[in-house]
Amino acid sequence: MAHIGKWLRFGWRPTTPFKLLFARFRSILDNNTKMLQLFADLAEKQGGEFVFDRAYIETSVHRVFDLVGKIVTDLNSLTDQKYTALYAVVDHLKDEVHGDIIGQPLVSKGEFCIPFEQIDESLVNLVGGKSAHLGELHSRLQARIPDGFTVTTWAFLRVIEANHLAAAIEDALVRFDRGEEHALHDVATRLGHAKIPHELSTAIRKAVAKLGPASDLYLAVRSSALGEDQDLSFTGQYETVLQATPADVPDAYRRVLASLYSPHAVACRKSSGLAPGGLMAVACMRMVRATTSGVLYTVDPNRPASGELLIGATCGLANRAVQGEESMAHYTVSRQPPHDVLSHRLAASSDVGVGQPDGRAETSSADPAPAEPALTPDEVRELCEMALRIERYFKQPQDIEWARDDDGTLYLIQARRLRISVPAGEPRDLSEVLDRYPVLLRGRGHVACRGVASGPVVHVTEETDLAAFPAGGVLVSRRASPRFVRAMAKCAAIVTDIGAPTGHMAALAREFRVPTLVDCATASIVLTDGQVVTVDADENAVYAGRVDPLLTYQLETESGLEDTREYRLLRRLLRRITPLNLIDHQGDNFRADRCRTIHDVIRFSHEKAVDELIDLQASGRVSGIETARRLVSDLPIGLSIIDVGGGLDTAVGGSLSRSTVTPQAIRSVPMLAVWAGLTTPGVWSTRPVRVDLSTFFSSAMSRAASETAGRNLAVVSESYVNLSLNLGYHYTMIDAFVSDNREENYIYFRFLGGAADAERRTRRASMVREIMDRLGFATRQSQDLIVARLGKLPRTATEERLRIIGRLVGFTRQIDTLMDDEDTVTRYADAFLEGRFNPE
Amino acid sequence: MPKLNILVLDDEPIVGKRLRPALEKSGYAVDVVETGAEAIRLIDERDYDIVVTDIRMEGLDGLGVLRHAQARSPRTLVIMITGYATVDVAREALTLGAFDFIAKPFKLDDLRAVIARAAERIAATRPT
Repeated sequence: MAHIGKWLRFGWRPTTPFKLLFARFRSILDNNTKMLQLFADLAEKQGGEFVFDRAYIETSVHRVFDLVGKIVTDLNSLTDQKYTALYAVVDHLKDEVHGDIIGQPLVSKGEFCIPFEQIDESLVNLVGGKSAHLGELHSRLQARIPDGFTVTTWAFLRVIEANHLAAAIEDALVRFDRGEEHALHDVATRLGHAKIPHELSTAIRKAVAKLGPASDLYLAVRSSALGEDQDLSFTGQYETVLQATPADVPDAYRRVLASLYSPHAVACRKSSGLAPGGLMAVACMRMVRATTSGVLYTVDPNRPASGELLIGATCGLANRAVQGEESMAHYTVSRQPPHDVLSHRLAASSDVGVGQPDGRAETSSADPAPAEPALTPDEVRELCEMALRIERYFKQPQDIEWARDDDGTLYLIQARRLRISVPAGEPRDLSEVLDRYPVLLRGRGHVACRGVASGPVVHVTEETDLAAFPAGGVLVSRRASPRFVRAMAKCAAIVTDIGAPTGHMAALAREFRVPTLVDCATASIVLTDGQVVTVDADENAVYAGRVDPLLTYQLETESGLEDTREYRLLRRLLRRITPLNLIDHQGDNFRADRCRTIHDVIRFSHEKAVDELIDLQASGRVSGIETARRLVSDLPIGLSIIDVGGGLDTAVGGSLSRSTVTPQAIRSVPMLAVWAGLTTPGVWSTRPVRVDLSTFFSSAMSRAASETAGRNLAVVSESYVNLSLNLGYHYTMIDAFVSDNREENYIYFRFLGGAADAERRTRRASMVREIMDRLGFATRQSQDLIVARLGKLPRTATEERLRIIGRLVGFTRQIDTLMDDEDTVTRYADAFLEGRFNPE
Repeated sequence: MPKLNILVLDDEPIVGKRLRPALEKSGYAVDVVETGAEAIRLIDERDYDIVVTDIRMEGLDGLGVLRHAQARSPRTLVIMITGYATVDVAREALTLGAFDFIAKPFKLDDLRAVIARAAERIAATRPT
């Protein structure tokens, strides 16, 4: 706000409330920028390069709500309380976030049943830990899991409500706390016989029916309580019902609910810091008609360094609890592709307790003796690739249950952390071991996502077919690109020459938990195609060869950082804060009550603040100020100008009427410079922008497929401009002060992408960043947002840069959909700075 | 040169989880504890070259650990971890003889740099 003082001193002497209103407007813009930077800071912490704690998260959340509170208050003060609905939105978000922080999440009203394929980690409060984990395996790792659905915590709350159990549960928990063990028995029994509300039983029946004909359907009904994650302390606490027929499901559901209140489960929740009351979601999974099935350990638990993994296989559906593992055939397999079978041991007895394809364990003397399961080399390989993908993601050894049905389709039934025994007593001296491996890169780039992985280098260019990316390869590329998401479920690691830890690809790499180094400058030259390397993205280093001690060390010591409470909390909070849903500012959804995240609220507030200033005069609410005048010119940007002192000279023929003005009237020094840039011949091409289907689709979802640009505003004085431009294909803010006193001169430039798909958007942002860097701006990029600052240059140099920015605004608009490959970033930046505005 | 022994103390488990592997890979022998009392017990048991401790904790805080470590062995270098609001306390720690401090959230590389400086100091003062 110091800047306002400057232009006030240089001209306009306020006698109207406009001064205050504009201060509010500027405050909204300032806090908006602060917030976007805070988003980037928070996102960066997910990568693992930083050490942070809960206090950091809490402090940051506090800042987020402080800023959004100011923005909403300013907007309402600016608009005479037009958007008070935003207070309720922010309050609700605050309640949700607070619930997450104190570990008592709010369950929002939701569906009773959610199919597995629609579940991801973001729904954890509704579907519980186990289901969210399954959803993650499915959505992130493309693992095929059997069909099924989860009956949500919302449904659970309905059961409690319909059976009037809330008070009884609370009372029982209090008594249990006093040492009355039996106190819980009564509520468990009542839940076990609870009436299931009609609408819920209908929803469950419908969800079951979708899984296939009842005559042929058996289900596994399992607990998925809130907080029941991969921590083994919960294993076996809650009920599981196997081989349930559709008719059995309601009863199985009640049994699982009742297990929430076993004394052991309540004690377990308390010792884990969870609310003792608990919330239960229930997963119902179709049981696979298995021809073979079994388990897989991604390492030998007793010899983690052996480089071997273990597979147990049996005919039909394995049931470890019933059969014991000695009835399985055992394979010892190399962890290295192509995963050769090193040894093979037949089942001790091949006719004991073998499950039938319908999943029911039957033994009948009339049945022929089941065949010894024999896995083909291809089946072994498919199994190993799936398992190691899961291990890479969680960075911990995995205990996996699998099944193959009669079509030969491989299913993942369950994946959980495998406990291994670490050789005790041996001091680890990793640093000495590491000294023996040649270092190819160290400390060169930035860690975008932590972890250690090894594999052959696979160079990726624009032509590379990412769908065919080899499993376990190390993706090496000149530039980071969100396009790589197509290879992320398969690649071991990513290393790029150029890229930012706050960039779009980095965010995706964190989602997929792929160890990633960016900005390494020479990786694509140093790392040769096919060369086996080990990427240590914990230490920002790349070694030649396979550094087994390092890989073993990770498997032995990995604490599952991404699954710690802090990381989970941060992810959960970011999901309530950073996604942007309100994109189309001309759409019907662009309303205060439709804001679902903090980002929605600040974007909405920004747009409405601009609208308000433009309409201020018409509203009649403020008198005595200069009219917002529409600038009449050939340039299709729909710009209104408010002069706050010496920025327009409407007396010299520039004014057409009281509500319009022509460019000749502009007297504001910085505005003149920007305008000169905007109107440079060739910069503002009016040729039609190429639209391909995918781009059109994303444009259609965005605000701005049309050329009728939004409402744009410049507030000017003789030495100052604040220009908000919403040009459909991008979103620009320029705030500048230019005088003869170089100490006071500054340019603040903010650029936010829109319209195009994520790849092109990121490329365009990278190009803008490259240009601003070369012009000497201090630049910061987080995904599509570029913030660039420059100050204390002489008047002529400042004006020249404003002219270039004006040209850049036009230029970026026309090249929007043309940035088809990564090379265009530098090529277009070069072309622009050389004055070639039509680079194709 | 023998490995340097480092004790890490922070009541937030995530800090130790993150620091242990990072420091072990850099060639240090690392112990991790979560309370001041445990730290005191270990400090009494063995000689640490470096103690990395959070300043603000329930019970015995970082300053208490600093005092104890210095009383036990003046050659132990103590690095304080601070939060937002504890920079003043950090200053106090420096006057009490802490080697340096680092503010959360920090980059691993930043801490490694502080520890490397401490290691240099130890190497320079260690009798050959």
